[in-house]
Amino acid sequence: MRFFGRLSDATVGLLFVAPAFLALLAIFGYALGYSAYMSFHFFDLARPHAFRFVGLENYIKILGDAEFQRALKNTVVYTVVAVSAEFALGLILALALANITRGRSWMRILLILPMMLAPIAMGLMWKFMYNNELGVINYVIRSLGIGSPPLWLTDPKLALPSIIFVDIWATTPWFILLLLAGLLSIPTTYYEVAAIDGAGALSAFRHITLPLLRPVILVALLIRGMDAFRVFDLVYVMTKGGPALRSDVLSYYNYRQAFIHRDIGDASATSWIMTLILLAAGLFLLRIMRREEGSVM
Amino acid sequence: MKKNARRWRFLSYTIIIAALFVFLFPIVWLILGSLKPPADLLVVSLPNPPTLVNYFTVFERFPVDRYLRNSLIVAFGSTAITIVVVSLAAYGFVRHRFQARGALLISTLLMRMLPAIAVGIPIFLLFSKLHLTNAYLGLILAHVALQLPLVIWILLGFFEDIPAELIDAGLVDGCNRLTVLQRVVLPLAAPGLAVAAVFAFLISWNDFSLAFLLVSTPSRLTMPVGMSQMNLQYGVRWDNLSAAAVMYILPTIMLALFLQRYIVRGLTMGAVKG
Repeated sequence: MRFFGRLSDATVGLLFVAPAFLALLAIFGYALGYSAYMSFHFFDLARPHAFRFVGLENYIKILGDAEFQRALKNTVVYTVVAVSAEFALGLILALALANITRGRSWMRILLILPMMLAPIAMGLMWKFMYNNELGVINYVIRSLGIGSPPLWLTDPKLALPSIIFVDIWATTPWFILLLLAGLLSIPTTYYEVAAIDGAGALSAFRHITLPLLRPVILVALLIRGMDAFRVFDLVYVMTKGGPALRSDVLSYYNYRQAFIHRDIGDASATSWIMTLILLAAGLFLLRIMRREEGSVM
Repeated sequence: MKKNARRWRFLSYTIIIAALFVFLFPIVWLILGSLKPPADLLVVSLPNPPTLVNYFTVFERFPVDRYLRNSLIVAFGSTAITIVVVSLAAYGFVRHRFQARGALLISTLLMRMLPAIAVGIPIFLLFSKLHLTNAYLGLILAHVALQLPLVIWILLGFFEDIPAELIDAGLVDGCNRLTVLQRVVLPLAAPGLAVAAVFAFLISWNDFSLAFLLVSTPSRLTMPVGMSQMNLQYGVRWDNLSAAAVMYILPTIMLALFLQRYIVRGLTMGAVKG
């Protein structure tokens, strides 16, 4: 143990963090490097000897693929609709929770429950409720006198919205908690001063709440947006992208390329297209967190 | 003015109670469904009388005990490795300033954002060569990588709260850096370690994507993947499936209640303190 004594402070620090970073590098570094390399090659697992360098061919092929375009469109719709609905509902509920005093803490506890569940559990739970014969949703609709209620997960028009609805159910609580934390950190004196100056509730919201909440809102939207963009579990367990790939998303498309079509070159190119989009969003998030340091971090 | 505030408060309670109903109903409905005798499953009703029969038959019909055991082995194994590795890393970050510090911390944030499938494909191909697919060790290592970024940030927050004087005093008293970590830092950070461990456990317990890609042997499936197969192979046995799902989510619910004070911090990688 003498050994540590002779090393510089910085070296000792690096030694302590080394195991964690070697592990991360071994998994993520390897994965990213491998798929970057493969994305420029033709590599079909069924025909490994046909392996060859193809430049940007995989990327060009994928970007022109109608299935990719639909998966991308669905993913963007999923992300935009789910995250904006979650944000709007989350904000309303956070404002309501900030407005009450009694019972706030146990209501917060109860709201935590849905969002902590595994997506697979949520998916199964809702698949059961959406079921036409056994499900409680269509039971209620029928008892209201509607003869043929919608087939939530098998109707091509409804499959994707039905999955988005589950995402909204699962994740609105996440926005509530986050925005509530932000709301409660705003000093009440601000509002008292505004009230003395004769500002109404609406103008206090516009001129105090929203500007002070802005960094929290941006961080929340970006983190959740990135999560929604890579959705896989919910789609897989509820529809497998069906019917007829009408609820397909990028992660599931990427999975099929590698494990059904066994085309690693194409799959790697898709992986990198997704990764680049997420990295761009991630770097943007970091910029916000840095700029707003103090109010966010 | 006073009347106005009362009206706002009333509206707030109404909204919150309606929301609680919407958010909790599916979970309650699942639990109620699992307590219904299988014959009643075709009718939408409350369990009357409630029975545990689905919980017994699910073990007879499906290898749920194996699924649960596999999930526990992988979750405990990966959490143990992660906590050791992350304790060292968090200590290194808090106590030492080095050039790559900021870059390393930021890289963990970015790794957390990668799509699981995109990472899972190369890992699957690599692990196939190393005979690490369908093996506990392979999935444990993959889950360690999944846990590390988030857990580093959580533990960092707790380590930063430990007064530097205490660590310095330990070093003056003749401890070396490892014994200071062991005798001073870790005991003081015990609550933080517990929170970090629970988050790590949940990440592994809830993971579907990587477990799905890396394990396909029926006897090695973890609970979420096993449940998704129960759905495929035998036609849907909703009575058994709901019993399995309840057993699967119960630990999550209990741990979530334990975590509630730290959840906002954890889910945003410490970006927002709750």
